[in-house]
Amino acid sequence: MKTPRFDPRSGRGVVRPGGVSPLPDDAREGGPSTVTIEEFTQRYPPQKPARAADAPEELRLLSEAEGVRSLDAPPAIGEQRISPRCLGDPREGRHLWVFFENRASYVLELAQLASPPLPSGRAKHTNLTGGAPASCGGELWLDPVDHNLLYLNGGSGRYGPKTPEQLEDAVGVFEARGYEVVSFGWDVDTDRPLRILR
Amino acid sequence: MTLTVDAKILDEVFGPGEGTSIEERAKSSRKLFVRGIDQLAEFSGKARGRQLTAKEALDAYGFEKLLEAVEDGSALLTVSKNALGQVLRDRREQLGLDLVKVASRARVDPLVAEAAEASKQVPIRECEKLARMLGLDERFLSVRSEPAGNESVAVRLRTIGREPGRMTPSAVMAIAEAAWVAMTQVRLEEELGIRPRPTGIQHNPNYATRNQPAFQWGYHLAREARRKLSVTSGAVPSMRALAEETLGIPIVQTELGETIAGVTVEVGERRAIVLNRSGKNGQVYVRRATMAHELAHLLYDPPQELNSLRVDDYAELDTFSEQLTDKVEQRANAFSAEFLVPQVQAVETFRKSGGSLRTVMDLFGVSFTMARYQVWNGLGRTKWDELTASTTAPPSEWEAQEAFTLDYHPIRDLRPSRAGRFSAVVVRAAEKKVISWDTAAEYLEATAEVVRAAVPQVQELYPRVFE
Repeated sequence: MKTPRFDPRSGRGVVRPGGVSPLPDDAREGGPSTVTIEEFTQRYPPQKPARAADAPEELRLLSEAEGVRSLDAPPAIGEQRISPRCLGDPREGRHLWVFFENRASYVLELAQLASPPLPSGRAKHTNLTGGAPASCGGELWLDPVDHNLLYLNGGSGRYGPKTPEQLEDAVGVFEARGYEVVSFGWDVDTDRPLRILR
Repeated sequence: MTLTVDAKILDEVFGPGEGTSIEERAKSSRKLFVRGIDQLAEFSGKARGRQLTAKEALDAYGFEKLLEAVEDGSALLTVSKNALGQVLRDRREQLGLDLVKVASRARVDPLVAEAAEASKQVPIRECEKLARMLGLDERFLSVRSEPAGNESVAVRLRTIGREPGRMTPSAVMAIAEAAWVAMTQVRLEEELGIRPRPTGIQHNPNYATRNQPAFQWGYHLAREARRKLSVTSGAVPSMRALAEETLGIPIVQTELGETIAGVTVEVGERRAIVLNRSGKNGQVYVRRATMAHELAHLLYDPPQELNSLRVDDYAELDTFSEQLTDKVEQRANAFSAEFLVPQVQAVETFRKSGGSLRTVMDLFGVSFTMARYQVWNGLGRTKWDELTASTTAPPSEWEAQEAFTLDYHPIRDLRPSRAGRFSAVVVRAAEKKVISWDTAAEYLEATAEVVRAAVPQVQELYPRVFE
């Protein structure tokens, strides 16, 4: 994989050495790569959550009736659509996604349809898996106008990608399914997925 | 207030260790965190951002953020996407400085500086370098939307910087950076429990009273200061050591051009002296006089007289006290002379040496002008024309005593502004895990390996910091 050079004018690309930047979706060698979820799962075998649940509610598997959906093909369905480019509070319109049992599941973090309601008022990634192993996870926002467009990062303490390549391949899974994806990219400074889109 | 948290959570955040409070566990933790401009995470080998000890991260961002970093993989630090650029740009414009010049002094690519001001995704280390040059507390970049770090000094700098011919942009920048050095030194000293020794000296609001003009108040206060600081007879061996070690006043030496002699800056409840290395201060006797003058301000002037920042020019320091119209300066100038070379002792030395002004100069470490003035005054203001000296250059011993580490610091190419006691405080703070070795290296503009290797020499230079 080719690593793009940092462009201080746009702030995009990757700084070397010691830099930070989102990986632009159009900067990968040969344009966007596509990966099936089966290929992804083979490359990145499902892992148990990186940390144990703090409360039993975190392991409750939410159902479709409780707002869990799957990103199989556009359009992306959701009631709260906010672009993270203009976010005040980054929690607004935030969804959680995971690759679990060959599905790309997601749910609004506020999980307003959860019945009974989650005591904390917020879902965890493990609510999409019941605490079972998953191959990747992160956060997701739905574009208010373009229902094909997803804003996506790897922000998950339980199932987050371990490398920028894993995050890029996860993006490739969504692209293979026909979505346009704006990836938040990788923070070279913290060696973690970026959780703010600049 | 000491907060206690469930032991399991403490283990998770700080790793296994002793103690029941967050503070205790943070102090003893071996764990490192790392920050970028937007987020904080547990350190992993590939991360290139600012490495922070658990204590350092806790002090700057609080326990909730550390917990979030551990639980969620990373904790968001950014208060708003624009905060980073806004703070950097606002402070730079407030100081009237050019972006390219700030970048150059900070050793940052101007395009990266421009990107940082536009709140683009840039390496935290580059942003931190810019922040330090602007006197900002780099720990709070993007974390706060208002500038963190001595706002009142910046406001005063802007005012003075706008007075025609008063101060060059380079001097403004040097003072802003010196304010950062002083602020950081004071913060680390407080963390390390290094506190100024009480002297019993108090601010004195008397400048000119009915029976005593300001310059006589200066003499009076100088005698009091010598007594309270136990410098009863002879020379003050090192003004730098007296200020830094005895009084706990940070001294930051930097380049301020040809007209400014020294500056006092407010650092929270304390103040620091910024000493110009250029111009007449290049001569050690002048430098000692400048330090004594600034000391008078710091010890005796009430805060309202000093503002948050006070600039003294060489021209004022060179003028006989009585001729100065500014009572604050008149008192400080007289203090400076009497503190360094008391009239009585000057005359006694002059007489014992068979009328050698040169002996007075070299014994007390003062300039020809100061020695002449004090002896002339002590002799009842007679024989002015007979008070001469063949040469005025000081012997090298005085230079060595006052310049100290600036010319021979074990960390090569270190900026003079950071080569003083600041460097020792930084090393000590790293040893005590108040900051990481990575932070220490960044402050001292070297690699962590170079800083670690310099520890024994730095300890030797500043033993009191390591006591």
